[in-house]
Amino acid sequence: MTLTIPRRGTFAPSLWWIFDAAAAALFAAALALSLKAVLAAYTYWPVVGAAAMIAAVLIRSAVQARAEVAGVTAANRAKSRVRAALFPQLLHSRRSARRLLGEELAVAVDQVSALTGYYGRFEPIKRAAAIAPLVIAALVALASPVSAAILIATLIPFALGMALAGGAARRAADAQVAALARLSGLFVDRVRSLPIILAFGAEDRVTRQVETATGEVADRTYAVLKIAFLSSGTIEFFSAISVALVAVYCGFNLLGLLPFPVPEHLDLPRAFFALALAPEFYLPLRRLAAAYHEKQLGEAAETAIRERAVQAPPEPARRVGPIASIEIEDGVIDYGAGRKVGPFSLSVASGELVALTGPTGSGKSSLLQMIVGLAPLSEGGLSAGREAFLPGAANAAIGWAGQHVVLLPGTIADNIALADPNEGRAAIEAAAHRAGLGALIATRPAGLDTWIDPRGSGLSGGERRRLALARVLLSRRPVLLLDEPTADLDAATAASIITLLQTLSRSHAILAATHDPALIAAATRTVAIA
Amino acid sequence: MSEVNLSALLTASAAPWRRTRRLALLSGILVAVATIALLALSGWFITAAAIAGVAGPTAARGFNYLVPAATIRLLAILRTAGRYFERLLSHQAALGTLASLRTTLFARAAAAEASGRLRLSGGEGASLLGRDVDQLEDRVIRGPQIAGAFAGLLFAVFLAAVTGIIPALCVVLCLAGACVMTSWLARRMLPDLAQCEAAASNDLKVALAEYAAAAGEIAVYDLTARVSAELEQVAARHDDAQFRLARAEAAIATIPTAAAGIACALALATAHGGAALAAMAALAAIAAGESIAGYARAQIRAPSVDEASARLDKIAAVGLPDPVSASPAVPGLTIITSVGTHRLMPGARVAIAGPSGCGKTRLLGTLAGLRTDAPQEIIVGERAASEMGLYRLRQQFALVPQDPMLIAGTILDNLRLARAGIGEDEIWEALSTACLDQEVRALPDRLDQWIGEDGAQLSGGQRKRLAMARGLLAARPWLLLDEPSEGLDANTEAKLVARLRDWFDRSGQGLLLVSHRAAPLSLCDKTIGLAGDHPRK
Repeated sequence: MTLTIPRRGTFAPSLWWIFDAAAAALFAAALALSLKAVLAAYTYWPVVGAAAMIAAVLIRSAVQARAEVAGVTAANRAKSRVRAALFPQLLHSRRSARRLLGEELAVAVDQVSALTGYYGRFEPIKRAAAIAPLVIAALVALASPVSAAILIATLIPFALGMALAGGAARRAADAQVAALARLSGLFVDRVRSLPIILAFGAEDRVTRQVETATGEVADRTYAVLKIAFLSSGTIEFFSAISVALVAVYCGFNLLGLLPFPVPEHLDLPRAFFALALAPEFYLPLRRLAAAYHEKQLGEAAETAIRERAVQAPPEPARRVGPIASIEIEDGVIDYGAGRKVGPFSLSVASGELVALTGPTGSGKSSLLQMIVGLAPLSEGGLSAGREAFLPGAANAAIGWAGQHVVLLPGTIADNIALADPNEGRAAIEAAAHRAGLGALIATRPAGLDTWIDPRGSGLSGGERRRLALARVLLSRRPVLLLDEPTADLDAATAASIITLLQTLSRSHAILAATHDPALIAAATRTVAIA
Repeated sequence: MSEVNLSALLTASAAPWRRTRRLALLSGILVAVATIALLALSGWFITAAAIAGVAGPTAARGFNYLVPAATIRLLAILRTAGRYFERLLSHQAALGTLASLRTTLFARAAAAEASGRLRLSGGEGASLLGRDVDQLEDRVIRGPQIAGAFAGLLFAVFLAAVTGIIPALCVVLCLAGACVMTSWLARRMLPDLAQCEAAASNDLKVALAEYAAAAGEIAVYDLTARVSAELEQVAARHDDAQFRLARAEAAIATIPTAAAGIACALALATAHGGAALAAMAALAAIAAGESIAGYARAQIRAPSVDEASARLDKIAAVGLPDPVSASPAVPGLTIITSVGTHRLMPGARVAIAGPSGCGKTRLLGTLAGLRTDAPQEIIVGERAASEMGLYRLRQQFALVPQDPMLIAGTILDNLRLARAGIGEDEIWEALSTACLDQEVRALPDRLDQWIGEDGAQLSGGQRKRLAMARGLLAARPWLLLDEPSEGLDANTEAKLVARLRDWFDRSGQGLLLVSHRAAPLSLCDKTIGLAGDHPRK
């Protein structure tokens, strides 16, 4: 499954940017007519003209703000679609640690945020930049077709200049890109690695290395900028020169001193309208150049998001029927890059509570995650009784309770029912009581209908674990995988959970990864992995 | 310790770039003046030409058109050149200043980390620091923008003043008012909104991390769709916070456009001295809007720049440590556990045993000076380890941590961390002892092979052995090995243990070893058992 990043539906902000050109024309018209009133020395008309100009510029400001805001709205819609594809993949990704790495969180949150400027500003401005200059030229043509022709004629050398400057800039950037990527990451990496640098007393040497690297980044970046700014310089030049050309042409036309015949004779308002709109002709392109940084950030973010999305697991193979035990023979989990867990062999059958032990990082959690398809099994196999099955294929027969419990907004009953939405109220109540949630239900006025907010739920650690166990009971699943079920609990709560697990183990096959000596002592068997 | 603040460091880093900054400033002023002059002169020229044209052919021929027409073209070129050099020079100054500031801040960040007062290492902290320094670029670049804004304002007011005192007042009130208003609104509205945005972003990260930690439950009960929908709710709140921030920024950014337009209208309506001068004043006011817009953009970014500066100020304030004298004597060790007291002579080879969670890794980390939370009492020579501090402890101990902790760079970069002035022979000897020499020789760039961030291009076992070679090269009196053979196959493990035994026989170094595997434990002639029940505080 690959992530497709949607691009449609962002035309509204582009339209607002095109309206901005029209609003500019409105202001230019008011200005030209006001000037005519001033020239004719009318008494009241200049005041009316000023009022019209103020109205026009306020409209223009509102349109500009609206364009920005519409861009963010459109970008948010696109981001929501990116997340709809990205989040499920993050929740399923096969990673060695149980928690999301900072990097993955940054991709899911910061990089998706970075798309706002790209989709919301750069793209609409880019679309508008193809149309708005022509709108300006058309409006100028209403007053002075020759001025409009002058503006359009500047586009030819402009395009040539941009092709030259843009090409040179790209070559300059490409030549530096690898070196820059390495060098500019160095500062952050060395700060990240401070503990080991300090442990070896290497901070002075590394500081000198940072000095060389940052100096080189500055020099190389400067070399790129020198050429990159030529593109924006080209836009600036044609923006300024088109104003100058229109001004000089209009002036000579008004004087009647043009050395060549033209098919139009201007008056002041028409000439002034053309002049006031001339700077607007290149404005969309200048805006586009200013938004270029958002494009770079957005493209980098898209790449990071795509890379993350590629690492999605394949869909699990055909599901197996109900199982009551699990055996693993010579299983090896291979995350790639030499990170392997195993080989390990173990079995757990109904009536057993097997404690899975081993030092931190030895792969206890990885083993449990592998069984439900969240870690890649590269060698060995899984089976139940005689029947072999692929990781994740037996999930419908497996109940899970870990150190972290999924809570969704809803009542306690709703949360228990996540394990089996078809069960009735009576079954939920029975499961809650068997899991030891009776005391909790009794102390809350709304009982099982107490509302839970996933963050700051008001449930203690012990209550969350019991809720997970209530889910297991409700689901009636015969195999139970537990990941550190008693970690971070006080001794009394841990003891009561262990008692409950011992009771459950009579009718379930339970595999519990744990460090807790009390749970290990209570287990029917212990399997150590190293 | 010398205490300073960020501004002082920034000033020092910026000092060599004074000339460049000054030139950038002048270019910024030139751009503002040329932009306004171009439009103002064009307006005057057209209007005056229209008046002369209406007055008849004689008046038209008498009109001096050559100077204005040439000046207009000159101004267009000046504006372009000014803009190019303003951008280039201000970026050059900013790049140079920040390069030097990064180095200064790095030295101070190291001191801050060593003092334990600030925890900057680790992914999030390091990236935040990197972004904070990047933000300061605005602080350097905004100088020319502010200068340009004021030059533009003054020039527009001057041109308005030619047509009378009232137009000048109108222009100054509108433009200066816009400056004050953007600055005031940016500081009043944006910090709160930015904080809401950051909080919403953090909420989303917390929610994602929590649900990811419960991935097993999500997989077995098929909850992906429901959890994703809930996450989307949290993400939508973040989007909403971003939207409100963007809306406020957009509103503030329109103030210069509106103010310049109003100034233009008022100047035109109140100008005296004829239509040509009125046109000049009006177009000067509208062109000044562009200079003010640059100022407004700087003001909109100012709150986040200030916030980054405040965070960096904490690092700048740490100051650099006084040098610690080298101690020539090799100390013995005393480790007092709840079970008994162990005295270790220099050169002893000792295994640390005990159940998981009893504090083995914390013991090694405390000896290396990286932490102070070992549950045992440790005396190095005569002093308690927790009081000696990193700078003294690291002269005695070299750590080969469980997580190899490699730096982004080449193999050589990593090995050179160990000690200053390492020769190539020593490097190959250490690599050979760590059973890594043949693999390094097989790499295309050998010692200069780029291994990526945290050794990403190497396998887990290679990373481990590279960290081992680095620890050996440090040549400290005591070596601290934490699970040195984890992730190695039995053959390599046996070879590694044999070569390490030779190494210790030759070097006479002491060894403290934590391992749950039998082979490396054979290096030791004594075992210290740690009792359980020392939960992390």
